[in-house]
Amino acid sequence: MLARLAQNFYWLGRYIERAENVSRMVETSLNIAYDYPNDIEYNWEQLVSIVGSDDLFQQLYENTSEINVVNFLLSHPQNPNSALSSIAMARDNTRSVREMLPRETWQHLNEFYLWIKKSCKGGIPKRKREEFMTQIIRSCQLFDGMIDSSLSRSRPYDFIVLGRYIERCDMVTRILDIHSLGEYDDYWESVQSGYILRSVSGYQMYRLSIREPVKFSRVISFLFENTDFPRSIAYGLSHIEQSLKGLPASKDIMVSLGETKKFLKMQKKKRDKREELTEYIDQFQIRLGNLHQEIASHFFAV
Amino acid sequence: MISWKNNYSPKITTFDEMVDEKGLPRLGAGEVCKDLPKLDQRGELRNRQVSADILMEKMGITFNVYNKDEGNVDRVWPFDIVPRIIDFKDWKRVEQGLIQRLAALNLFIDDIYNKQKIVKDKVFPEELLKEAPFYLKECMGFRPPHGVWCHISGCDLIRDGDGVFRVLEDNLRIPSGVSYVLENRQVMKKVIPELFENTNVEPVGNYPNALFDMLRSVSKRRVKNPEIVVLTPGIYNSAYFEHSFLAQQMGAELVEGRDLFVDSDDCVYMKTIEGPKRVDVIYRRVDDDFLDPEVFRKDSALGVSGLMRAWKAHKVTLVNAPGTGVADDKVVYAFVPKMIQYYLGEEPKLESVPTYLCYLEEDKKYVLENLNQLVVKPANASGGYGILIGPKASQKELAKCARQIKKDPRNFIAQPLINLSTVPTLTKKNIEPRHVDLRPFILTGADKSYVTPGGLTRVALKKGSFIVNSSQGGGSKDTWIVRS
Repeated sequence: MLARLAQNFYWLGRYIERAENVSRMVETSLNIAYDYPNDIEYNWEQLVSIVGSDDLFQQLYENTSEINVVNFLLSHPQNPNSALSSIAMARDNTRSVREMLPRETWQHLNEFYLWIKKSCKGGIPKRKREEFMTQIIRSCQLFDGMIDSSLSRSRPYDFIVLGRYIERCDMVTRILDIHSLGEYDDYWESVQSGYILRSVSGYQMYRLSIREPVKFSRVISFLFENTDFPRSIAYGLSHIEQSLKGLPASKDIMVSLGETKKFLKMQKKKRDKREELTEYIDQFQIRLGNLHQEIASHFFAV
Repeated sequence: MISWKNNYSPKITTFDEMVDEKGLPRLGAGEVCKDLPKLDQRGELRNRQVSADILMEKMGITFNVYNKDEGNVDRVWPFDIVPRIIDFKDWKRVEQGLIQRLAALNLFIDDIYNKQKIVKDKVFPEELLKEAPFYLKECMGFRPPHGVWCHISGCDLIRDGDGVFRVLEDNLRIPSGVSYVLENRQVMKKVIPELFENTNVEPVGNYPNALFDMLRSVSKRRVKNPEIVVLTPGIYNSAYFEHSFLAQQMGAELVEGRDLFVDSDDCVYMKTIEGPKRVDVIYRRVDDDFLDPEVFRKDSALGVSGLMRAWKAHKVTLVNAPGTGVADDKVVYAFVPKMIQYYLGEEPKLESVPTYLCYLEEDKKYVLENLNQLVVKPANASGGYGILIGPKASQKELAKCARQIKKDPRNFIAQPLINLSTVPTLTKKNIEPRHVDLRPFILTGADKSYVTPGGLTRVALKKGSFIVNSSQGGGSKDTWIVRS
């Protein structure tokens, strides 16, 4: 397979997943912010930091108000990681590989793009936000469904799935990172933990599988370790491994993957302590970043 | 409702391909002339036309027009479901003529870039060569595998008032349109299958196989499965649909310039996830000018640096060969009959359109005296620019044209206005004669030639119009070569 096409498929998987997770991240933050007592201000700035866009944000906006941050993350065309930009780029990536995907995928992405572009004009009004984010999540899920139900398990599939799970592991840890900061009493911790689970559609799944009270540390463990829940890190890594095994991956890639998995297993005590969680997530992200670098330099930079 | 006897009445001055002067079906069209009126009861034909339009859109049989807001605007090319019928025996003669023509043109190109015997023997004037716009000095002294320069061509044919096939133009660089030939047939089989029941139509679906075999035959490296790729300028090119269609049909990789590189061994490689993979044959749909920024346009991002070097070192075959365009020009066209006599010692089997070359004193005199009867074309322009149609021009336009010819006679040729043949075509209310042309595609490989049975029929949908271009109200039809 041409390196350029492999790269297109990989990023297609990543962009779709990114658009979905950015929406999930904003949705959770809004929910928590509205539950806050009125005299405490939600820290919107941290959302911008967590996606690593502080500099760009400062160029585009004067302050980190709720409306600015939400628009920046969802609908700003100059933010390359906004949901709007992600879908635009997913669509661009698909143009040159149309013939290798089920026909309806292109049609869906094209419609998705036209809709999101129209909806984002002039920012998203507050009362439309919920609907907007839900629609993005649904449309991304529909795309994933089309890929899973009608694309042959061949190279394009492997690269899309590889991109999807790398991005998912990355974004899920970022969502957790938002919530690792701050002091919480038991009551607030329980409220917050519920939102974390809901943000990854994991509330029922957690309930069904854990059968213990919702507790922050248990939720963190669930999202890192549970091998059955499709939005957990362990699940993501096992699918990354599966995709790589179907591809002519280099030794360096497999070593890098091994290190990421090992880290997850060996350092798990660290994530039990809230004060060490951020450091833990940072360390995990560095390893995930290395894995991406190895994939990119081996497969794409021929 | 179609009634051949009463309603369908082609002009007497033009040649209608479906019915003769008495309104009787021509050879091969008999069954279709019976089947069509039967099908037309209660507006059924119109329903079938609508089905065809919908199917075309669904199948994505489109030409791209890129629009920044909506992205790829896939425009469907109008398609008319009444087939254009040509008798098998008539067609065989055309086919032989096309093969002969391409044999002579290939010998001409090879001669021009090597010994130039035709110039030394004063059959082809040296001064014309110097002005040929697509002549490439880089090709001098080179001979591609099997001496084939033009592997793929598309000749534009017309039928005159007597029904005689004539070549109007040779498209030797990168002719497009063959994908429509295949897709049009698919659509016809689906929406109007009844017409195929009683008529023996030559199949067209073998083109991708013939193309693949031809490309394989011109590989320099003698390996079992030479690597064949289609080089496209990319998704914004108007013919991208065809590039991707042909690659897909042949199971060849569709590459862009940035997917290829030339290594220090002068071989061409494509960048794959398994590492560099050697390429043997490139069916390039990129113009000469953009092929290699080392040699031609430096600003080209569509080509591959070092590609000409690799080609001249015989490490890769380029289809068509760079420099082929030297024979694709309106003045050279006029010399093709002479080339056939010179190189093959044969008489041309296919007529062309009489052409007056204004650089010749005698021709110029004739052209200036008969300007209002002739079509005048600039020799070096393409795309229909600067064409004067004498019988339709005003006195002022004629005077202006005469001045231009006197000023720069070398740059003008003139031809008599040919009344294009007609074929029945569905119109808003009825079925009426509309003018058509035909573009068959000719493949020339190591030891075999192939001509598409029929080719792409373009039809001028506007009443009386001779302009078949898609941008100016033209459509297409399925072309049927019928054995009777």
